[in-house]
Amino acid sequence: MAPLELLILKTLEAAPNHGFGITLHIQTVSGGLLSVEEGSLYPALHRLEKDGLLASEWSTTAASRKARFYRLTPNGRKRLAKAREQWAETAKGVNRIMRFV
Amino acid sequence: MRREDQWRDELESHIAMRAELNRRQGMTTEEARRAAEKAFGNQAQISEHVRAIRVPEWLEHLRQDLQYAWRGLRRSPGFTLTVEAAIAIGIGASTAVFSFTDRMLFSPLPYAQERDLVWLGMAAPIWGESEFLLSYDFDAWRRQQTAFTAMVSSAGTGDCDLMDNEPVRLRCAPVDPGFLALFGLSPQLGREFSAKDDQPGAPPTALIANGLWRSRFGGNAGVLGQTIEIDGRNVRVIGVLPRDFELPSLAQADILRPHQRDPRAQGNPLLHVFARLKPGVSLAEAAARLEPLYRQSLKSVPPELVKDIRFAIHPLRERQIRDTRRAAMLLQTAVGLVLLISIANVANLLIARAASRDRELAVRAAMGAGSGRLLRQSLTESLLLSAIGGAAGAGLAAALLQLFAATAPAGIARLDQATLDGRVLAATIGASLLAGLLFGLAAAIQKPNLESLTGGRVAGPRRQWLRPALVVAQIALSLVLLCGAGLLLHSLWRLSNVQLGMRTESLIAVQIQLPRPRYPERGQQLAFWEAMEERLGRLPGVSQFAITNSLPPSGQAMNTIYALMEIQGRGRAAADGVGGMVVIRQVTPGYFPALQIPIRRGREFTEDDRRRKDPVTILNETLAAKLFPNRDPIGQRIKSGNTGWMEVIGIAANVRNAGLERVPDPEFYMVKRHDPADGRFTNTIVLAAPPAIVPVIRDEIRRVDPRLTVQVDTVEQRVGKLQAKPRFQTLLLGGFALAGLLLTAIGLYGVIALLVAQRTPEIGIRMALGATSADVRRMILSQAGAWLGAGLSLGLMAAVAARRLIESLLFGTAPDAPVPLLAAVAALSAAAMLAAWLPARRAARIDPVRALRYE
Repeated sequence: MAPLELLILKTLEAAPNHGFGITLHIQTVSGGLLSVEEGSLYPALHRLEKDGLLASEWSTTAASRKARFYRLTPNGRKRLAKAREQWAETAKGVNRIMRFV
Repeated sequence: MRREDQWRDELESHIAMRAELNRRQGMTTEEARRAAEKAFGNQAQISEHVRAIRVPEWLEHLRQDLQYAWRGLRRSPGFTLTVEAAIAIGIGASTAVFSFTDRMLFSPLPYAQERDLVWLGMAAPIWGESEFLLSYDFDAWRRQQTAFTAMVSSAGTGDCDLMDNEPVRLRCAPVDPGFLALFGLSPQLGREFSAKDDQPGAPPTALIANGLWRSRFGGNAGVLGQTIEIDGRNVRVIGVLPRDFELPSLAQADILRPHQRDPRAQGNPLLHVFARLKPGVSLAEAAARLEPLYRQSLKSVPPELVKDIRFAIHPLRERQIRDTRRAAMLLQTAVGLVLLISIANVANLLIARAASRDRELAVRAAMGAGSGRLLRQSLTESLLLSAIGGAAGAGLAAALLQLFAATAPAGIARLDQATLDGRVLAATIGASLLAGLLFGLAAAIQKPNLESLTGGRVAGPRRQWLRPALVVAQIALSLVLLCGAGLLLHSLWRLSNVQLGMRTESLIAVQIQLPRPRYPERGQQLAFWEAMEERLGRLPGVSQFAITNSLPPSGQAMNTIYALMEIQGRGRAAADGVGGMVVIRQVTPGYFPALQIPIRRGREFTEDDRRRKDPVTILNETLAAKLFPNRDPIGQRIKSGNTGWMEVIGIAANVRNAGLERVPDPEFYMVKRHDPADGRFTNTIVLAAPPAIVPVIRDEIRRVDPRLTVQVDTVEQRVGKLQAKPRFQTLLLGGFALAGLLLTAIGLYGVIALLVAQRTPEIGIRMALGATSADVRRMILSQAGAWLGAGLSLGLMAAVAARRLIESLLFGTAPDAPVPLLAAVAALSAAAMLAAWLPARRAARIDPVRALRYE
């Protein structure tokens, strides 16, 4: 699973959110280190939805603006758990290599 | 597309939120928006991605192709409309015509195992073209035959009057018991006639038609056992016919009644006879088995007649469509030609368009579109055109069918039942799709010529023969259609200008049929007609008055066989066989002046003649010449059947008395005497009077008998009805010919216009070298002229070859009459040259400088 998709799933784990909210969240939480390009975000969102990991519906934001909210489906949750493990493994591996070199 | 909209909304909401944030961070509204959009990057590209995720690839390609094709069609609306019109006309006209000819010729009859049903009888020219058996023979055949499981008869349908609060004239048909059963039918309600109902003197019973039941009795089952009054007799309704019932003779019948024939009674009525073949018995075998019965029956036929009579047995379906087959085939041929022309037209336009898009296709190829993709693109466009045209064609077909049904004269079998036939529609749309595919393919199969990107003229003889060939074919087909239409038109013109030999203007015809039960005695009948004469003859405004038992030019009149006529002192009239028919008309003395029929020799009937003991007669010129080729007929005495010896007192001019299309039959007139023997049930009253008088006439008749149904027409209307069928045929064929002509002109125009566009640089050079506008125009027109010439010669050959198809529908016009053919050639030439002239004029206006700049 691509890092962007993992980030999306992780972001949505806490609460449903819309596309713009997701970019803001990732940017804020990563302390400005990671910025998501809209050009990749939406194709990713739609792909995840098509794969059944996300569901979406139209709703209103706190500022009472209409937006499409994405949320995790049970499948998405399972997938996130698995991906988190894999990521941890990968990160561990990468860390070791980095240290070794 | 909903999905598309959703995506657009989502994108928009994202940008709005980003802009809001930007604004709060201190940008102006405008800056904030622009920055937000910029952050999003290439929207279209993202949209592409998103969409690609959502739909399968092939569907996405199809969508793109369709969108591209649609845009292409929108870009050249002239081309698109032309092609769509061509497809719609072709599909619409042919679907409509095939829908109703198919119903007429091929759809199953509403009877069980119709293949075993036959129509049989003895046929003789004197009975028209119908087969009959005399009731005496029918009884004998039915007893002795071995070929059929059953045989039934029906007498011809006749007028009958249903009396109640609102008297109405209906059609009644007497039939045998077991009539419905033979056809595998049973009444929707109630029962069929039993042998008991058919006994002479049994209480009268009737089966009523489904339509009558619903319109007149509210579709109420309570009608069973109810008594209705028909022709003054109380008749019990014992059943209701099935909804789709039709008499095998296709005559309209509202009420069926039992014959109740009394074998001992006088009269030997003619019957239509139908039968069902036994299983395993072929038509030929049945004919062979009936041969002895036929020979037996011939013995009682007067020897003069035998020569003209033959035995006829036909499958029911074949017999039913005999009269309409020719017309149906003609229409199918005509509409097939229109379809061919429209397909050729579409093909031509598609090819022309492909040629003009060389450059565009080359660009796409250069940009990396695969040849498969380009091919598919081109096919998609053709198919889209066909589909839209097909839909429009279906609409047109439905409208045309309604138009046919509304304008068609009565008596075209099953036209009213014709509905848009799904199979036919599928077949014609299929044909146009196939044509679209083929020609789309032909247009696309050529690999785009990258050289055309250089902007220079691409040389080469590609497809140079196909388009001219298609144009020539269109011209030829169109000429065939025009010739057919021209011939029918000419024939109709002749028909409407037939010299009737009588006047028709300001004549009113009132037809009255007295109900048998209320006027059983001839004396009563005579009294009624004399009362009419008394009252109507004296009405102010009536300048002429006559009563006659029949009225020309319709062929329906009392008649006899020429061979049965006798001349006093010379015996039977000499004849070869029956010698044809002789019309007998019984008239009052007012008849000749009312119809303005001149008396050539001798005198008219007078009032005195109506009281004379010894009868007198007036011959028409034909009969006079036939009976007395070299003698003066006046004063001679003749006889026919039971007329007694009649003295010839005059010779009247001929009148069309056998329909419009045939030369007049021999005819003699007798005078209606003041004698109960001359009482009749049915007569026609002829009045020379203004039409405003009709209500007064109706009042007067009501005063004599309030319960009669009366039919009032002008004589002109009656004559007009006789032309209804030829007029309808001419209208249809004329419409198709016009459509064909239009399509051909459009096709020629398209091809010449393209030719001019392609040759613009060449024309520029010619003009630069000194050619005048006139030269250029001549060059283009002579090209069109060459195609026209080729098309006309081919078309004339085809028209001559096809003329037998139309021969039987013509009246007074030879199938190779020069005038209509020349008119067709002239019309087509004019249309074609006009179509060529427009682009030729454009060519002549080409500015050599601008034309050469393209080089």
